[in-house]
Amino acid sequence: MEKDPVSLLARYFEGHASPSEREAVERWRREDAGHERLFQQYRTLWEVPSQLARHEKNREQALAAVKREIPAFRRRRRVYLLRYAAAAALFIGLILSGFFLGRSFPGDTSLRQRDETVVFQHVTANSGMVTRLTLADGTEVTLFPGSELTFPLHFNAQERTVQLSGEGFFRITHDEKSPFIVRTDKLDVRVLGTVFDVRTGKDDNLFEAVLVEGRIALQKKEEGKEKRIATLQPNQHAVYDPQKKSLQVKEEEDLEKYIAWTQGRLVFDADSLRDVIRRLESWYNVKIVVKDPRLWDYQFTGKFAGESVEKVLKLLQYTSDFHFRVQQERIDKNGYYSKKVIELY
Amino acid sequence: MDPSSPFLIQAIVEGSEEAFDLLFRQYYAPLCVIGESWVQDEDTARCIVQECFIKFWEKRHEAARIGNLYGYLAHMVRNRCIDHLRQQETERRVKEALPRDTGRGPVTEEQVMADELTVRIGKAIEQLPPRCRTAFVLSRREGLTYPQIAEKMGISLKGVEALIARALKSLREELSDYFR
Repeated sequence: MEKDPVSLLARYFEGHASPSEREAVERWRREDAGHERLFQQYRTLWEVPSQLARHEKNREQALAAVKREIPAFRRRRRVYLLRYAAAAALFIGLILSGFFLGRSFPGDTSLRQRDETVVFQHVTANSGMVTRLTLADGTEVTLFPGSELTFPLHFNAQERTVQLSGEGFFRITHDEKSPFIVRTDKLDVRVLGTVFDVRTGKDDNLFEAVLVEGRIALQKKEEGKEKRIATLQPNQHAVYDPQKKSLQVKEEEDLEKYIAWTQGRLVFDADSLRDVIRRLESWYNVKIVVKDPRLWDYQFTGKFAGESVEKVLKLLQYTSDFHFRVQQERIDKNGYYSKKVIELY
Repeated sequence: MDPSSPFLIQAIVEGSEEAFDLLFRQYYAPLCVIGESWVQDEDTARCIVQECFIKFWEKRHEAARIGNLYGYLAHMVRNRCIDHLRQQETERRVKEALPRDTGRGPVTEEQVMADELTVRIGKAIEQLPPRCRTAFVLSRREGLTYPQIAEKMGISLKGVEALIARALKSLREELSDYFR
């Protein structure tokens, strides 16, 4: 071995060593266990960096492949797709309806106005996202995840009516001659140019409305007639119980907790578990199961923006003493993922 | 990034995608090197490492309890590689099977050091003197030959050899703790 064995080793590893140099290295390795150990150490230092570089080239591809196999990351991607799908569906719906009207009344606008066909549009806000719509009169509607809105493509001159199931935040375009009415299966809201939030559950006895600006009237259909049961002023929050037919109206200084969701935030302020579950289930597209009935009496407080459902529950644990476990999504026989189930106990 | 950083562990437990990306980008290649040292095949090693990251995500709470995410991943990779080798042996019905006690027993210090080494090497290369680093990186990462490096750096072949030898020596010194 020459006086700088490392230089020779490097030449040996590189494959540039002459036959006599190779022979010298082999001899040196056999001479002493310490030499062999040194040889192996240098070989590691020689080979590992190029192996690392080789694997790093494939890293991003591997990361994408791994994330496709992890449901939590894959679902997020699917949500984006659904959002685009919803926008596309609405767009296609508008185009088809327009085509239909054009064909029915070719060029004859007077006939079209007299014999107006009302084409309804139905939009469901997918779970996991807030959906925003602008109606024909310029009214802006924000739908809570999982909520549904049915509305005419064109409003007629006398009245603007939409049907809501779930929760919607409305910013109504003012039109004195044409009142705006939001119908729900419990109460109707009659509007005179205003900003408000209506919350009604599909399968429970919930009706809530909160008014930000303007004036709204809550009406109930009885024997075919609309009966006004209350008029709300700004910052008033109304809760209606359809079973007891009772209405509670209270003043709220801060409406954030009711309308924060329109900005992508969830706010709970001493809310019941029932309210919290209903909102989390729609917001995150999960199923929440309560294993310990004592939890129904708990109150929950917290503000969240962009957190995972696990994080939200974890943070809620700071104000309420409960535990939760997440059952991972299962793939059914058709290859679809079931909803994530979260158990509270 | 420290693989036992409480912030990283917390973020991983909470399901942060960013934290997962960070962990994957940092440790994918070193883990592949560990895998390759066992199975002697690049693609098999990559498959095993990817499976381990998926499995790791399911078991991240357990990993968090152990406290060193990289150590946990490296342990998983090693065990999977051994399983893979055993399976291959069984399939081939070769009598001289692997010794049953390999790997599954308590982790030896030697193994932990070897696992650590693959991560530390990258950092140690960064700390080499500039010209040493350039020659070494061109050779070991970019795969250039000595004549190509000589041309690129405007030095003689002997000069390249000297720089590379110096780099190897400093790396060995720097990483002496990991060589026992």
